[in-house]
Amino acid sequence: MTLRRLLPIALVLLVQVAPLLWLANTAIRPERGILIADSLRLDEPVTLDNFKGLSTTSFYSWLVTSLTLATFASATATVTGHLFAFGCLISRKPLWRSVRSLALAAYLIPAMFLVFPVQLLYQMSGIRIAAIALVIVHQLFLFPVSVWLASSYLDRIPVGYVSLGIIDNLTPAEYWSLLYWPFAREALKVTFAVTFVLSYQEYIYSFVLTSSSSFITIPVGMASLQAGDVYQWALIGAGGVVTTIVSAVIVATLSRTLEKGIERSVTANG
Amino acid sequence: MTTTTAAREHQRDRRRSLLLFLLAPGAAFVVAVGFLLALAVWEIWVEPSAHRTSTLSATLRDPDFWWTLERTALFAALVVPLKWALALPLARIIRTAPEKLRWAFILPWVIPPGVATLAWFWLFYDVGGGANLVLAKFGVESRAWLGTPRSAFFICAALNVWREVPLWATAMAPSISGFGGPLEHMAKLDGLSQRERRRLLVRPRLAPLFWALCLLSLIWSIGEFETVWLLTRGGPGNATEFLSVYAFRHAFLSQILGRGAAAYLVALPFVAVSIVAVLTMYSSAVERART
Repeated sequence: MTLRRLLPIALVLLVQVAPLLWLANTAIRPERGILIADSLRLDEPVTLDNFKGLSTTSFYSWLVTSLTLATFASATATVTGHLFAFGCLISRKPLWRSVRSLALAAYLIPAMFLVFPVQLLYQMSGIRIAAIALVIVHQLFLFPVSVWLASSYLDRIPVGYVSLGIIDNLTPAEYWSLLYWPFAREALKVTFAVTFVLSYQEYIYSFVLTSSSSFITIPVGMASLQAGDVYQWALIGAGGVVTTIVSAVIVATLSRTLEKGIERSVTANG
Repeated sequence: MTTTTAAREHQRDRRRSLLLFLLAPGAAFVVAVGFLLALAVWEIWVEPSAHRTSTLSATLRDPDFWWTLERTALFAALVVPLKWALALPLARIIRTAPEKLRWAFILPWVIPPGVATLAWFWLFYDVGGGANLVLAKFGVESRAWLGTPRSAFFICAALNVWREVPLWATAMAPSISGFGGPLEHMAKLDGLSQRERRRLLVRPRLAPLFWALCLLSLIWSIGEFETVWLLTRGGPGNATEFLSVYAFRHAFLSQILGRGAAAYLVALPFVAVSIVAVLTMYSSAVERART
């Protein structure tokens, strides 16, 4: 790779990660004197104390909560979205296509608008929002995405195959193995990857609805380190670095799948 | 004959059961969302505001609401074209980058917005923030980046663009992979200029994608909450109080849930018009791309 090709890549990556690098620099410097205004503090010794300091907060439990919630929420959305998209395909009735369009249109409703009735239900029912409830609430924005992605793959199944399946009176297992699985293998990975990322980053529902201090997600927890007039910059930096590393691992592992998912989600069904 | 009829009935029942199983999640979802929307509208009608007027009319009469709507529209009108302008060059760069490195470009979108926002908050913090340190190195006086209405607004916009441009570029990168390939080669052989090749090959291919990304970006910009809330809390003054922050402030800080929902209900016609306009452009772009 020539320098001419490498230079724009390096410059763009620098702009992309500059704020994160700034946070990372804070994370590895001592807490003392962190607001010195005349130095980038590059000459100060590197320390990992701030990462150890994270264990004095509930940061690691927030991380586990976020990852667990994202896993279950995205798995639920993937399964239900695929079931529904496949059902719409083999049903062939216009009614279910309309229901599918309504489900997709639900994604256009801003999350901040839906959080009001959800909060109202919470107040009226007196039920404390628990993990399962949050997994269900996440479906409000994950299910349409899952249906959208699943449809983009399953709509490639030739209509004739579906008709032949009806004529041949396929059993459910045969529908699954002969019609669904060959087209859905990649779709499942893509749907899970995209919905996982969306659920992992979700903030509004967790912020508004989480009443139990034992069930706080990363986005909400990190924001709490910024509470009031006291900014624990070193801890924020360390927490930011750990969260970024986790996100980087996720995206590096799922990179090809995410790329396909993003491309499909904006070009599908068009 | 009876056995065949019975067998056919059994197979029909089995297929009906299968369809019921498959379609139930979608039906339940649509019913649930419909119920939630009805509940939101009911909340608007039954909950009076503190001044004994209806929640809806309180919102309509609140001048702050209309300024908020205008600010949100300006925000969306600023960030969407910026994303388009930056995404295409970035998509080209992503295509030329080594495959093992491509994941790094999408990192700003993948990390939780709260973490990204805190990084920007620290970058533009008044004392010790990175931006002011860079200015100090060049002998320029420090600025209250997030304390000045105009700069706070543009920093919110810049953060929004910084987060979403990688998404746009990643979505566009595969679509531009054909450029420079056999089709482009044939176009060159036919004597088409670069401008003509761009008009006839590039734009029709990218137009549907552009409008789809516009729609997503419009929805996300209108609903932008986390980054703005963590960066500025809607301030300074209310310079960055967009629709979602306004709704949140009234619903949860003033404890009038109906006011929050009413804000979106009043904004709905304006938002709907924008969405319909973008969807119309998307459909016609898809038709043109097909032909």
